[in-house]
Formats: sequence, structure tokens, C-alpha cells
Amino acid sequence: MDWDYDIPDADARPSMAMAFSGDGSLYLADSTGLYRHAPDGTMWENVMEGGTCSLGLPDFSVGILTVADGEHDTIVARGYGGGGSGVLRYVFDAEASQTTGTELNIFSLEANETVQRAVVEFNRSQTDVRANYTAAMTTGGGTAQDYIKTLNTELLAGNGPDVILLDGLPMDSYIEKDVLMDITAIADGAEPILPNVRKAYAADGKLYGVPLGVKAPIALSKGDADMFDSLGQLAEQAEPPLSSIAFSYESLARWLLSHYNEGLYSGEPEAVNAFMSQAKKLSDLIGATDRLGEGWESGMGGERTQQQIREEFLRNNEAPQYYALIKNMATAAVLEATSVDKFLMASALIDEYGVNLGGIGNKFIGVGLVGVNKASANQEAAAEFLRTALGNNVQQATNFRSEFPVNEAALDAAIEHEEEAFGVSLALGETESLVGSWPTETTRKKLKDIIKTASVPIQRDAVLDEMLLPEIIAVLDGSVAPQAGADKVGNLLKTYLSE
Amino acid sequence: MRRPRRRPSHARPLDAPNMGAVIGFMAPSLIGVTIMFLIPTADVVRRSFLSSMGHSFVGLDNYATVLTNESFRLAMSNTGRFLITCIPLLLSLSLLMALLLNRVTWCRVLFMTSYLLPLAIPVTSVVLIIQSVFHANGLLSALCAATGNAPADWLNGKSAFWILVSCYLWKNLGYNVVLWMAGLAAIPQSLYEAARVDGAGEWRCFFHITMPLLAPTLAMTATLALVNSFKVFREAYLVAGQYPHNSIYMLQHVLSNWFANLDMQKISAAATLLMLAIVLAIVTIRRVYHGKVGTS
Repeated sequence: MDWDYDIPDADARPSMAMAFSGDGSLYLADSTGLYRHAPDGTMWENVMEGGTCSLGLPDFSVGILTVADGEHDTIVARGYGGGGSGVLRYVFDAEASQTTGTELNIFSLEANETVQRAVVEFNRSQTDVRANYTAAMTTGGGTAQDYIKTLNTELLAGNGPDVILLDGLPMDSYIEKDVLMDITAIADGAEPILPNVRKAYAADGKLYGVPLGVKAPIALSKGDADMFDSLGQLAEQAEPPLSSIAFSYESLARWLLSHYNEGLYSGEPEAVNAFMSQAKKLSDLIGATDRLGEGWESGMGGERTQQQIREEFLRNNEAPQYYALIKNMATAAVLEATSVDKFLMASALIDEYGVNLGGIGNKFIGVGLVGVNKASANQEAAAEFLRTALGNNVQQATNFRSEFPVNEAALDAAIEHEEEAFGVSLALGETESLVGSWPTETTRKKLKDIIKTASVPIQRDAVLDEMLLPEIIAVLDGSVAPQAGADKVGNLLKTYLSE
Repeated sequence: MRRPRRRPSHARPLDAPNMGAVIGFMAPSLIGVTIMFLIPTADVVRRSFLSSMGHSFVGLDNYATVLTNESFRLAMSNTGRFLITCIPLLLSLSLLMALLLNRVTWCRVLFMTSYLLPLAIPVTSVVLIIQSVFHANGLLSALCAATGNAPADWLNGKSAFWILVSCYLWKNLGYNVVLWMAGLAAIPQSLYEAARVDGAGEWRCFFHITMPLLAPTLAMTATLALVNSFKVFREAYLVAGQYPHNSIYMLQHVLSNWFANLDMQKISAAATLLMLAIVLAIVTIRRVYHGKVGTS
């Protein structure tokens, strides 16, 4: 079909708006920027990059675009972001520089919203430096290993990005090889971050990486939430009845690998044996099966097949856990608290059903661990970027994000913030439902205490997890005895750890 | 006493004008080899004496680290075991097939083409075949289940090594058969006729005519088999990932994983050791070959 205008990568632009100007030019605005198509032209001109303006903010979506005619076109964009809506206005500036003297390169494997926000904020405040953000795995088709090796090649050549997001990268190796700069002074000069987080990431009193956000693994329990402090306690104190609709062998194995992996990762035979036997005991206690989602009424959330329900619960099993708690099919639920607005259902369970809220083993998950390349020629700019990312402007725009701010003042503000007209409901059957509203002050304060007292960062190793997962599942489903499974895991770990 | 070699009558000593032409014609190739091979090799050897990022000299520490590393030792023993198993098997099987094919007068081209086909199949297709046959839920397991035997995860057990050996033999057999056939074709038939006139049987002809005259071919095929044996890492990596079963955890696995961890110093030391070992092997092969030529 012959289109009047061809929009490149239209499927990759979920939210965009277009408008004609008086001279017949067509403007297009989306998160990647503002584009103009001349009346008789064949190409789109990138008038403004998304990373340099609010269009590029991760939670902003443009709804309506209008063009006001004048000596130069004035672009007006109505959009939604940060929990509200507003209008952006862009005018032509003849004195604005098209190019900048310095480019600051920021690299990560996966896209991170806080970094995207920080890039926009940084570019808006700087005239001489332009921050370019590359999330490797969103642009190419390779595996994480491919991109890590490409990055390492650049680092070995003395090049590489200026700022590196260390999630999924061998940070310990980078510190040992003196690749990362000591950012203690930068962190000291930025807005204060949570002291417990800062202390957890300090090595010999120095900071080489700091997370831009945190998540809190929490437990909602009808009994004492302290039993989640260790896997051993959990295996002894967890009570039946069953929770088969919420946990399969695979999802339980993944959860255990996520939260209780210290002993396992050490490779010590006693610790590996203990992990396997405790995991098996817990699995039997809570009734994990390979029939994930069975018993979940298909009417809830629309008509779905058993397979669809199973796949959904493997990704996120909060809803069936809440259901199981309410229906007395379980005595506890576990989840990762990422922001206050996503805590509404859990809050309803606490307020209406008297469930206890607690942390899991004083642990937290650092997200967006950022470091500076020691070989960077733009260390000052990198330091300024880090200060921007940890600053109040970026960290406070967090209430509808996927992690809590690591900036202390921003976390306090996020916890104290109240939304009155905010609620969600979870259907529990054809007539029943659980309605969640904004958490009470007590619940929010408890959540803040959990975050501020957590002292152990959860370390995850995706390669090791994928290697060990089948062996752990084999033990949980009974096809392999815990001792035999421990021996096999020990052999796998031996090769990996001895490298 | 060895007779001195006489220069062939058509050869002339290289004088200045000829030397210039020689260098001129060889220059592009020499420059390419220098830039793409010699300089990088020298850089790897240099890095083997430095720290990971090349900031400091560490002497032989990297070599000590590599030689005492358990993963490296496991990989070396697996690689050595693979070479010792595969190369003699490949050479003897391919020679046997070449000798048989040499006697076939009909459809010889068809046979040779079919032997060479595995070499033309892309690695990813080979990997798909391996997975579909040897996966825990693959064809072989289905066959076992159908015959009342217990299925197994063939790729994650002791059989993984033999699967890799079979894959290597299947892929490289045809290529070596062609090389042997070329060597056999160069042997004058008059020698066999004369031997038969003197009453020599098949085995005597084989050991006293065929094998000695196939010595150059043996040297070449052994060298190529050694080099090609390291390429089996591609199949092992694509089938079983970064951390396969211990029996197929090869040298390239540990080098690849070290690179992901930025352990360039260990990679350089290991690569230098490997290079020395391969050079030693090839020099040995060549010396044995020259020894045979000298005494024949």
C-alpha cells in the first residue's frame, strides 16, 4: 500500500502524536524525540532528541500534539507522566547549539528507568556535555555474554563507556582489575543516600558502585514474619496448609535462589547440603507442585487457559498468593516491594486480615548499580551525571516506578506521600473481591523501617542460577534425593568457582 | 652416512635482483600475516607477563596461576583426552575408508560427495540435530522408552564426551578421506605390480609400499586433524552453553569464561602455553616425517 508518510519502526513506537504545521510539514513526537517531515520530503528530520527533553522521560507518554504557526513553529505537546498530565512547549532557538563539545557515554545491559530520567535531567541542565545512553540488550539481538565480551574488549583497549551500569556485569572482577573509579568523593558530594545501602556496597571503605534504587523483599505472614530470616528457620517453622496454586517447583526454586543463595554460592559442601535439604523440606511443607495455578478460578482476570495462567504466575505470582492467604490456603506470601503505589493489595491484607509485615533476612535488592570507568576521559562529567542521578529531582519522581529511591530524602518523601483517590481490586471469585487502597501511615512507616534497616544486598548471578535451577527443581520434585542433588550442584559449583 | 642433498639443476641461487622481486611479491602476504597474526601473537605473549589491564609486570605469576587453576587443569585434561581419542580414530577410520573407496570403481564420486556433505552443514544445523537426537526428551530417549529402557539426559552425562567425539568424526571423516585418496593416487601402480610379481601379499604391500609413501599425507592430515579438533568447541558451546558437563568442558570454555570476567592475564598465559604445546606437536610430527623420508 502507498502511504502518504512512512513512519519508520512504527511498531516500536507505542505512544506517539502527530500534527501538521501551517506550511504542510508533519511533526511526530514520541519518547525518542520530535521529528519533522517536510511537505515534499522523503525523510524524517530529527528536530529534537528525546534524551534531551521531557519527551524522553520513561514514564511520559505524549497524547496530543499541536503546532502553532509563527515566524518559527511552536510545538505544544500534551502528555501524561509521573501520575499526572501536563503540557510541554517547544520553540525554535537560533542560538542553541546543534552539537556539543563532549559526549558522555552511559552503558547498561538492560534499560533502567532511573538512568533514562537522569539522562534527560542531565542533558537539560548541561550545555557543553551530551549524555548518550545505550541499553545494549534492547537494541541488538545478542545474549548478555556477547555484550559483556564486547564491553570487556573496549575496557581492555583503554576505552569503554564513561558510566557503566553494573547490573549483570562482573563487578567484583572490575574492582579487582582496577577498572572502576573510587566514587566515594562523588557520593559524598551528592545528596545523601541511605546509610545502610552505602555501607553495604563499600569495599575497604571505598565505593566503586552505588545503586540508584532499592527493592525490599518482604513477607506477609499470619504468624511471625521473623521465620523468613533464614531458610533453615523457614523450613522448620513454615506451616501448612498448602499453597500449590502460587508456587510450582520452578517458581519456588527461583525464589530460593534469589533470596537464600549465600550458602549455595559459597560452594561449601555443608552449606550446599543444608540448602538442598531445607529447600526440599520447605517445598513439602508448602505443597509446591508442578500444577501451578490449578484451583485458580478461570473467571478471575478473564478467561484464560491453564497454560496461560501458569506462564503468568511464573512471571508474577502475587495475586495467587494473596488469594491463597485470604482463602486460608496459605499462611504467608512473599513479594518484592518496589514502590508505595504497588503495595496497595498487600496493604489491604495487612489492614483487613491482620497479616504481619516483615523483611526477609535484613536483605535488600540494589537496582541500577552504577560505576564510573577509571579510564574515562570525562570523569568530571561522569561525576556530575552521578550526582544528578542521585539528586532529588531524579530520585523524587518515584512514586510510580519500579524501585524505591536510594536518596534518603526522596525515600522519606515517597513514604510520606498520600494519594486519596487511589485503589485497585482483585477478584477472588464471581462475587468476592479484595479492594486495596493507599497504605496507612503505619504500614508505610513499617515499610520504610524494613528498607532502612536492611543491611545485606542480595547478590544474583544469572549464569549460576540457570546452571543450578534444573538440579534444585529435581530435588524439590523428588526425582533426586537432596544429598545426590547437593553432590551434583557441588560439582557444577566447583568448576564455576574455581575459574 | 646421509648423502648430501643435490640442488635440482633448474634452481638458481637467489641474487639481489631476484631477491627484490621475491620480497615484492611476498610483501602483501607478509604484511597481512604480520599485522593479523604475528603482532597480536607477540602482544598476547607480552600480556602474559603483565597484570590484567596491563598496568604492571608480574613475571611468571600468571603462568603459575593458570597451571594451578583447577578449571584450567580440568579443561586441559579433557582437551588432551579428546585429542588422544579423536585423532588416531579419525586418521585410521578415514584411511580405512579411503583404501576401501580406492577399490570402488562405480559411484565413487557419489560416495565421496556424501562423505563431504557433513562438512558443508552449518554448525547451527548440526547443533539442532544433536539436540533433537540426544536431548533428554529427544529421539534417543524416546527410543529407549519405547524399548523399555530408561531415557537419559545424554548431553549432561558421561555420554556427552562420546557424543562430541562422534560429532567430530562425522564432520571431519570425509575431508580426511579426500586427502588420503589424493595421497593414494600419487603412489605409482607399478610399485604394486612389481611387488606382486615378487610374491608380496596385500598386507606386505600396505606396510612396505602404501604406508611409507603416505607419510607426507599422514603428516598433513595429522596436522589438520589437530587444528580441526579445537573447532569442536563450537558445537560443544552451542549445545551445552558456557558450563557444560565436566567431560566436555574444554580449553575454549575456560578461556571464554575468563574473558567474560576480564581475566586477560590468565587468557594470555594459557594461550601462550597452548601455542607452545601445539608448535611442539607440529614440530614433532614434522621431525618424524622428515626422519622417515631421510631413512627411506
